[in-house]
Amino acid sequence: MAPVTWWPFLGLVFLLGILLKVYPLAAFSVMLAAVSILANWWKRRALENVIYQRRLHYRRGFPGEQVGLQVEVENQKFLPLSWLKIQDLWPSAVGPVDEFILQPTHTPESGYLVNLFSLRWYERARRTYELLLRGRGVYRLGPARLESGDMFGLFEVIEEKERLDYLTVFPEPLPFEALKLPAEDPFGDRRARRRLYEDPNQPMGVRDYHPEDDFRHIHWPATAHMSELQVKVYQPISARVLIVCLNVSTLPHYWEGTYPGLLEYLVRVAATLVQRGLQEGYRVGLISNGSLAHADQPFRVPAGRSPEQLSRLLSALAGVTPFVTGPFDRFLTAEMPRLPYGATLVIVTGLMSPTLAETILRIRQHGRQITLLSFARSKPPSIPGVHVVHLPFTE
Amino acid sequence: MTAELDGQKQMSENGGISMRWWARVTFLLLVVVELCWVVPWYRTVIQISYVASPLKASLVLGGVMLAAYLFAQALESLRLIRSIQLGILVFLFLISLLISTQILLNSPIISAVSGMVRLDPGAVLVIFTVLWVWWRGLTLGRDAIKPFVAWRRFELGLLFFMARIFILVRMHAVNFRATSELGLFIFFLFAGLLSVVFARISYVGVSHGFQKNPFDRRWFVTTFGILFLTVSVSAVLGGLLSGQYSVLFALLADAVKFMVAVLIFVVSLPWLFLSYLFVPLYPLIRRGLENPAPLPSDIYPINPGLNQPFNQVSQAGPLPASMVTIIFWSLILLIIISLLIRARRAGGWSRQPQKNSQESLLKPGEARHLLRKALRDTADGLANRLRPARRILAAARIRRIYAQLLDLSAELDSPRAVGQTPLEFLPELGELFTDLNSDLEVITDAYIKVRYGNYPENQDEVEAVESSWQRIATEGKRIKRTVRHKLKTVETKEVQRTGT
Repeated sequence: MAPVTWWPFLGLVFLLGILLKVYPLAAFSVMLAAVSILANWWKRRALENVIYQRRLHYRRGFPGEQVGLQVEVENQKFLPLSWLKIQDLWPSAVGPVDEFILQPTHTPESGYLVNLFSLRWYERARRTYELLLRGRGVYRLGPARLESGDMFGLFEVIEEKERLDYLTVFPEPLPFEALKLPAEDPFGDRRARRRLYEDPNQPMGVRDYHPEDDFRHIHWPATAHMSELQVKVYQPISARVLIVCLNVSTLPHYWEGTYPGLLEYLVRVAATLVQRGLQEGYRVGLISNGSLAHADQPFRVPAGRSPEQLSRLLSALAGVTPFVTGPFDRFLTAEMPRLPYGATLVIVTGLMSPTLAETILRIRQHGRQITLLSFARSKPPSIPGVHVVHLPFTE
Repeated sequence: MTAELDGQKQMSENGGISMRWWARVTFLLLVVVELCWVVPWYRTVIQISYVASPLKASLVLGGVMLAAYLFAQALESLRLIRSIQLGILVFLFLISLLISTQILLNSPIISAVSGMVRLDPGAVLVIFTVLWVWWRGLTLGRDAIKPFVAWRRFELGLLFFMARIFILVRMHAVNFRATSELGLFIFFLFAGLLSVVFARISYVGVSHGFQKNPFDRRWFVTTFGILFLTVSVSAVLGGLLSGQYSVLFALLADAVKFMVAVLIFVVSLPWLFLSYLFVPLYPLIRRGLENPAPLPSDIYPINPGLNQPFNQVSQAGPLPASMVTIIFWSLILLIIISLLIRARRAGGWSRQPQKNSQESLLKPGEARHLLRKALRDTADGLANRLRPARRILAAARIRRIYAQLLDLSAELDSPRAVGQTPLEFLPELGELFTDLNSDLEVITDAYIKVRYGNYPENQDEVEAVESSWQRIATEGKRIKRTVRHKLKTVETKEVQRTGT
């Protein structure tokens, strides 16, 4: 529909009307041209100063929870909008409670949240929805496609608003008992925990030398002053570090694809471990050979015990995608130097291979405390010094 | 289809008018659009036979179109085989053709049929017209009315409308009346645009999942108002630009007359009703007055049917008459009270926070401020658009001034050499106009800037160059006068010397 193409015709009719003295014809052409010009002008300004916003009551939540959403649109100009259709690309996994609200798209994972408005001058309209968080993930909301036109319905104008919002659905932790870890010493580091570490950066005094003391800890100026051997006393550090190492490979060769059920389960196990670790007073960190949503690099969350650490770890786990960046054994070997000394490693894997077992053994030989949680069908080999829990995964 | 129906159902549940009805209204508007040009064409061409009145022709042809639309929709919903559908439609068309021919040609069915068989021009024309409107209704009923379809129909109507006017005017048709044609065209334009708007809305609304249907009474008032205003303004503009003042004023006068008549009618309705109700009280009033006035029924002949019950009541005794008055006023009071209660409730509801609400962003008094700002911005925008043109004109003026300066210097025997730049020429000009060095610099600088594309930003720069040039021009005139005087003196001396 293009009334603009009429302009030359209307001009011709006007001239004909004037030249042949058919004045009503000239009047009609002027009337039509006036309406057409106004409509065209209106169309060009229809989507100016139209502000579209999504207001989520919460941006993070657990599966099964409901989150309030308010869609708000403002027309900040004098020109009214006869109709305004907003199509917002929406992941089905965080769609409204009523599934039929979302209009279908070319992919089953997403739909269109369509809203129809009619806005007068300087007017705001709202629509409210209840979103149901159906599955783990970091979901992108948008972009929104705005369609409108002139007041007479002659023209149509479309604009895409690039503003995106994100909604994070954390993995749902499992009951800790399901992991069948010992209740008393779940991560197998009780003995190690009793041994206090000392931080050589924080000396707190001196004392007399004992034969078992390290020769490097002798405080030479104090020894000279006292004429007796004196050693430095360091600040004891009591923090325990737990690093959850997540293997997102679910098939022997990572390029073969993924086993979604197993992957989800592994992520849930990791979420359970980090939550429990923080409850137990550990500084908890996370490393994985998987990549986060909208990224292609393996990720790591440094160990910490701050109040935000749990949400940080769960957000990272929410964003874990099936994309595997490389073999887990190589990844673990590469990551070891970066992990804090004395940290307990809990390896969560759905696959066990001889190379992985070998890698774990090598790490253990370097003095790391390791617990292996294997969800592979076959029983993992016995690795000396490693606490192994085997829980074959079934759907 | 099911999703569409679900959506429509949901839309109707969520406030506003159901989207199904928008499609129906769109169709009715398209019928009006079609009739606006088909009926005049039909009546123009059928002069050879019986000419039905415009109302009659509109009702018949509109009825045919409506019937075709409804039949098509009904058959679509029955999901019959195409060939059966076609057979039924042909049968129904024949029936409607017979009925239409009978009414439009004002002749019995037998003669109408015989006229068709004999290919009587009137009957053939009716067949064509009925076939056309039948087909137009049918095609609308078989699919959703898209904005594109509405626009195409409006476009076709426009072409036919214009063609008819052109032919009538060129043929100097006796029955051509510009006022009514202009009025009809305005109505056609209004209905056409409204049909496109409605088609757009009904098309946009054919989706499911909407929380709220925004096309309510408020939307209708806004759209209708804007459309009415636009068509009116365009009509005035069209009338004025094409010199149709008299036609326009006649149309305006007719419109005003019509509106006043409607207003008077509406205003007089309650009083007319009241006057009938007060009839039983007239004897009482008459008795209370010394010189009783005659009954209104004596002056104006009141409908005896309306008067009868009251007469019966008054005959029954004096109490029923007063009872009627009491009942009447009680009813009025009840209506007022119920309206007040309803208004109060509505106010209370509107104060409650709504989930899917619409609210104005404007604070009291802000609209005026924003409107002023918008006007100022528009004016600034317009000025900014015109600025390049103004700058080009200013640059041209500076070039002209410099050219005049060169002419003046040439007249004073100091022309600029071909290879000389303006800055190289400046010292020579300084020797010519010794006291005006600063003015010469102003003009030369301005010229160089313009020469290399740095056009003046504002009028002050041009005015400065103008004033400098005025001083130089005055000085130039003075120098020319002096030179001329010197020459004259020299010539006189020469003559005197030669004479002696």
